[in-house]
Amino acid sequence: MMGLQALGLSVLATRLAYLQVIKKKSQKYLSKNTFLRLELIAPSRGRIYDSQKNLIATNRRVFRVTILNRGLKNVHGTLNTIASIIPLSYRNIDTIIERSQSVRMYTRILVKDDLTWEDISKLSLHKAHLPDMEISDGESRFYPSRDIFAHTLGYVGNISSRDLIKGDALLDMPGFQSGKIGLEKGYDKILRGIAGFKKIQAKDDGITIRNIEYVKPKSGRDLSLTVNGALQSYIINILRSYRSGSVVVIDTVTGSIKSMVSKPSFDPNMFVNGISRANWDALRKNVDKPLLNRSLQGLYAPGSTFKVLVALSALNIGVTKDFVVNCRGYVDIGKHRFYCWKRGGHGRLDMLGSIRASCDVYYYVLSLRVGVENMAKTSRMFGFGQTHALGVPFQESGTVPDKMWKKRHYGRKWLLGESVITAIGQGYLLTTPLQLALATARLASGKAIVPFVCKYGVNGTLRNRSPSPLAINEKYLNLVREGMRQVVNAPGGTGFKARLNTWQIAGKTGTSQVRNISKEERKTGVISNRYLPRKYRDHAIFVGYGPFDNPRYAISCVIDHGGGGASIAAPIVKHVFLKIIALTKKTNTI
Amino acid sequence: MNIPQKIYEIDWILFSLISILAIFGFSVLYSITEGNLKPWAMRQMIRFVLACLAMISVAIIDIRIWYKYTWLFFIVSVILLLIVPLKGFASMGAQRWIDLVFFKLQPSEVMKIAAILTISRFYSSKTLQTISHFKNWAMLVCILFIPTLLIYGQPDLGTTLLLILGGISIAFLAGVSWKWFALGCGAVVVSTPFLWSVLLPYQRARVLSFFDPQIDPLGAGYHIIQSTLAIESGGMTGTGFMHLLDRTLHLLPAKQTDFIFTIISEEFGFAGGIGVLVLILFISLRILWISLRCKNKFGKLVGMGMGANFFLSIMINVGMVMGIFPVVGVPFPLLSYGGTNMFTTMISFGFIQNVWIHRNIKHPHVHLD
Repeated sequence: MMGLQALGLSVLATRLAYLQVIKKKSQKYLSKNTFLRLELIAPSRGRIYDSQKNLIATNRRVFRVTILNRGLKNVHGTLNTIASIIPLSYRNIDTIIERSQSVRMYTRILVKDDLTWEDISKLSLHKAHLPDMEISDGESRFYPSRDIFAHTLGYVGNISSRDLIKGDALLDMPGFQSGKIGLEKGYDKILRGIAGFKKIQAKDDGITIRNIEYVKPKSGRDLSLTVNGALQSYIINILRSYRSGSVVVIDTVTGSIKSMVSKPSFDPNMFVNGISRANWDALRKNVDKPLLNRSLQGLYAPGSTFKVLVALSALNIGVTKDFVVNCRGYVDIGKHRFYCWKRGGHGRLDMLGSIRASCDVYYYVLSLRVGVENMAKTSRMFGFGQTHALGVPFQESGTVPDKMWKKRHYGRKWLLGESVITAIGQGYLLTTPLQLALATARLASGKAIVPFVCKYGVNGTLRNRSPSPLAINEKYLNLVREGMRQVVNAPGGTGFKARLNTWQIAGKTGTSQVRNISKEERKTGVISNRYLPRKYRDHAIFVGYGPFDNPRYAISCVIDHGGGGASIAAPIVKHVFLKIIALTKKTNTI
Repeated sequence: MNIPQKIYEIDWILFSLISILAIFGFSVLYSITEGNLKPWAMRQMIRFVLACLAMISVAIIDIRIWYKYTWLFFIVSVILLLIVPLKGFASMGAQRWIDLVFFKLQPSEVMKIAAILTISRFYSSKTLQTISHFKNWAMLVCILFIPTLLIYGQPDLGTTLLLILGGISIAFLAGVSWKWFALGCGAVVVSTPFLWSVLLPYQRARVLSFFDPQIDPLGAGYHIIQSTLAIESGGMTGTGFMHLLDRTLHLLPAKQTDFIFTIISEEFGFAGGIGVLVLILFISLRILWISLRCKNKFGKLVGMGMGANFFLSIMINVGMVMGIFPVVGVPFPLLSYGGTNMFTTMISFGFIQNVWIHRNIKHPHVHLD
């Protein structure tokens, strides 16, 4: 026992001697009136590239002035002197003083970022009187792509006081920025890098004498995204005549997202050094909500595009493709009359015909056979009702209603009529444009494609990219695919405006209703979108994939309040496919 | 013996040694605040006086009573630990305390003492022939299992470690065959990957940064780097009393609690640091001497168990501040600021004094009149 104790104590004594006698001796310059101070060196934030290796987020060299926090009195004095040399607003001075109270002693506090040459030369003149001041070069985020990738990338911003509570010393650093939204936030940990530090010999009052040790910071990891800048810009260009909407392009083989456009957009550079009041108000008051990432956060009833999943649900429970309904323009179910979009009716239709003509009555009737639970099951299988781990935070999961969901949210039983309208993609059902594109990609490939924009996950590990086959019979998928082919290519198909000579496109139109049509209106004739205020007009939706025989890309297009999917959204998708064909001609990939 | 006789019997040499250590602690707290009794030194002194009363109370209660109610004490401690997750309140990310109106109780500390008593009582009834049997070893594991799990979950890595090491020390002192310890070491090595997987992320970060503080100089490694820098600044003779560097005062976290040895090493240098360690050596030797003079095995084991716990806390604390042990949050007994630490330490010294006062009792299990 005594032996063990003696051994333990001698280990400690040896360590103490090593630190205080041997190591100290090797640092002879450490006199009694000096001490060692640790100063952090910011790592370079990882850059972000698009699929063609174009820089879309990088760092810009800036000069900034900082002061050493040596207590309130010193901070006050130095700040006042600096304020008499270069312009500083009173609001700034107050926040800096507040900051000096909350950060550790002997850390540097940012006074002004992105100095002009004039500021630098003026300050340099007075450097001798300001021992606590330092003009240093650092980096600031810059997005060369401007508004093209704004929603996907997000932006970085200054550390808020809420972040500071988390206690990571890196956050105290002057000019340090962290991701606030988008990939910048999702991948913040690996983009950030690891800080280096300087061991500084300082006088008793904290003023630097010399640097003793220097440990280099480790830059954050660069990210290569799957999105294609040329395609993205092209899509933004063809959307120029519409106020708001979204287009998502997914590779149906890998699941990589080739483009994700949300309109209107904004310039993320505005946020980097603190957004100005005027810019912020403009963004906030804009009724089209530029900050909303419609591809991931916009919630839309999928409209008729959902019919293909209802058809699959029906096939899956044993309904055959020869199931025939005679559409007379409406059908009475219970006490209600449900109308088809085609007033005169479609006549007799089988399942293929119902997809091609997008007959509502067919699906009203089919819903009675399928039931909401089966529709919900298929919806989830195709990626509805859930967020997808892209590394872009703040996604909406949408809504896949079923009996339990109704009970939980409304405390009431599911009604038959609700199944009926769910079958044409209306009612409680809500999806995002990403989910629409993903469901189309899964349908085209028959695999549970997992979407991604970066082949590395947010923790830096490679994503597992071997999607498993969907739990659905290939025969059924083929039937629905044929229906979608006919939508675009057969006479009487609703999506003929997406037809191409080069690639055979398969698709489905959709019109997402945003208002209820009253009985009175039915009698006098449904008011055309043209005569309605914009906010009551339908959303135009089109989903499609191509080439039909060997699917490569799936696209969803939603134009807010655009009207009919067939007339508005289908031609947009056609143009996107044309661009994709042009891009793939050179390299075969985009 | 009546009460005055018992108080007279207290080992005043041991008491003087710990008083020296405690008084030295007050002066260090006084110097951290640059010569102010507030906020730490005064409160610490008041606590010491109250803790001395607690020590005397524990010391004069007949050892046979302690023996009789050991298991009850253990069960009460387990119940207190169970209350923590239900009724306790959290502070600094861990839920360790329960509020008893006039003071805050940390049941894990109560358990530390209860476990030493329980394990000592358990082994005191075993003869040297049977002590190494497997079922006794299994019993030790059973006693420690639930408290360890509860304390680890709070989370409190430091106390968990002390509890396990304390239990093992008593088993070792009681004469359990060394083969079991060899087997135990083997088991630890084998289960390391598993243990690693149950550590919480912040605990993993601490262990990793212990092996290389520069992995994360701003997060977990920050404490260690600042602490070793301060110790280095001390040199042979230190910066002098009340001459702490501004840097240390402002940058060293937990300077009045877990990192107080760092302050001592900076102020008084190598000489001061070694001085404290020598004092610890004297205290440990005195505890050993007292324990060996006790005529019953229960007393012997309790004395040495409390001593081992005291010594291990210091080993872990000092190792931690000098960067040769992971930062697990174990305070320096008597020196670190804090009521829980002060009272637990003094109560364990109360048990050591108790062993000394009742050293002539041969059979602690004989019923009292």
